[in-house]
Amino acid sequence: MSARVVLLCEDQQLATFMRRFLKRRGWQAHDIREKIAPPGQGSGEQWVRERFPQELAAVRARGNNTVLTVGTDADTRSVAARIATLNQECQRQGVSPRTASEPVIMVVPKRNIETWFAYLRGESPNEDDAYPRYPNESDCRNDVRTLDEMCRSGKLRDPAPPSLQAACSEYQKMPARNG
Amino acid sequence: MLKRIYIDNFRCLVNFELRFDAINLLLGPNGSGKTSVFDVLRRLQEFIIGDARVHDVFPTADLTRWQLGKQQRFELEIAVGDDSYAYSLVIDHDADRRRMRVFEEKLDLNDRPLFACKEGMAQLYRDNHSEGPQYPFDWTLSAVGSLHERPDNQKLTRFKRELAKLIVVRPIPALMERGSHGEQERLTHRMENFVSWYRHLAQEHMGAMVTLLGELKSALPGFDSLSLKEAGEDARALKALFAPPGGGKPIAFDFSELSDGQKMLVALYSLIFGMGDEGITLFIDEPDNFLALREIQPWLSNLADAIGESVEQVVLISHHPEIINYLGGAHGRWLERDAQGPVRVGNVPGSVQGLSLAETVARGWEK
Repeated sequence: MSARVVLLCEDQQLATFMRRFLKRRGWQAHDIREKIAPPGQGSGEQWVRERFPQELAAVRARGNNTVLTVGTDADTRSVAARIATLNQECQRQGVSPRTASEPVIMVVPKRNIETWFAYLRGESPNEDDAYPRYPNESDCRNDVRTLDEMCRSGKLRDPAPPSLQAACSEYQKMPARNG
Repeated sequence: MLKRIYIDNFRCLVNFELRFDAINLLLGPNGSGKTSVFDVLRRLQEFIIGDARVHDVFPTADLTRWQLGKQQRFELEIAVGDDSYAYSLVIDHDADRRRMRVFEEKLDLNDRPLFACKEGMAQLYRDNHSEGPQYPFDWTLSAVGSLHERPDNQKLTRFKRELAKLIVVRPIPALMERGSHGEQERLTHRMENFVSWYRHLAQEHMGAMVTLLGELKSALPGFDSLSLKEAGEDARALKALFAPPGGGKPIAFDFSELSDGQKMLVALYSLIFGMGDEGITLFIDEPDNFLALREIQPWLSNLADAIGESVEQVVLISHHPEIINYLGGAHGRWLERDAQGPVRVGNVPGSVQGLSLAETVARGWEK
């Protein structure tokens, strides 16, 4: 079985959240190939940005319903600005930026994934403040379950963080596992 | 969950302390003491809950060669919910007379005594920590291990049950026996008795088998199921069923006919999923051996996702780049020693800019 989803992620917590969500949606561990920025080597955002063009090129070359899913925090920038930096890096490396129809999904939590965790726990976070981290990455399992249930009901709880709404729109491009 | 181990005067481990999180990867050069840490845990288990005598599990040959002291000390801290157990064992070695004995064995809960045995005199404490009976005890056995469950020692026996949840293995597929003459609740060190252990799982954790077989279908192309077939009185042989090319009735292969990699996958997925929601702690030495490159990360991510569910804690030893890159940065502990000196432990050094952690280690540039 070959990997059909490449998960390019800036840290373990975001990767764990995304992987667990995909598994809730029917994907299996063997479907997913994770590429996670190594801790202690500077900015995870930069690591993702610099590798995005080569992963995009690889996914295009592979075709065959392969999906590139990118996880990177917006931090203090806007979601659109963060996605723009990825496309600019493509141009810098001579790779065509992603097009709207390509199976490339940008998951860009603002301020970071802990903001979404706070929302999924039932709080009403803003996207500017920093929220506490979990001691263990796997502690996000209940948040993943909550998000999955919201997806199944077709609606996020209001008011949802705009960055989560944007990610849900991106996720519409995810093909069915057996598609 | 094992929070801490302390070892003094055992091989290269001198005044050695290691603290654990939910996920841990022990890294370091060959001979840096990683496997010795696992050995101590396994031996403490054999001593406390396996009824082994002290000379069978802690021979004098394992004293640190350059140390003059003849006393060995081992300590464990195990957290159970909000409670914290502290176990300590001190062994006296008399090299001239080739005799060793338990000098002291203690068990505390949240800094209050549950049991103490010193120089052959045992002091039992009740669950409310009031003093219970005092009695002489065999110097070669674990006094904690000898105590059976009673209404007033539930806290002590809970410690033993938690200790039994530690599974310390170094799987070697070639040594796994093809059949079983009975269920076995505990795995042997190299998983030689895997089939007997699997037989126990199939009996005691039937619900978990559905999940396990589902995961094995992802890992083993064409895999259908596992089946225990009668092979004589009380004996069972483990069969792996695979779909034939073009479909049709699955073909049964004896477990011994599987490749080492296939056996390893069956064993490794059984460790994650076979015990249901027991909340075990897995200590696995080099799980990557024999696995195809394609199989390592899916197994690791399944393991990581099982934390807090079927698995409470995991400690791995590995030199494989896939594992180092996946877990090393966030969960690694670096063990090293100078020449034949004692082992030191620290956080994993950062990777060199532009290199993966595994590549940094491969170049010896972590220093």
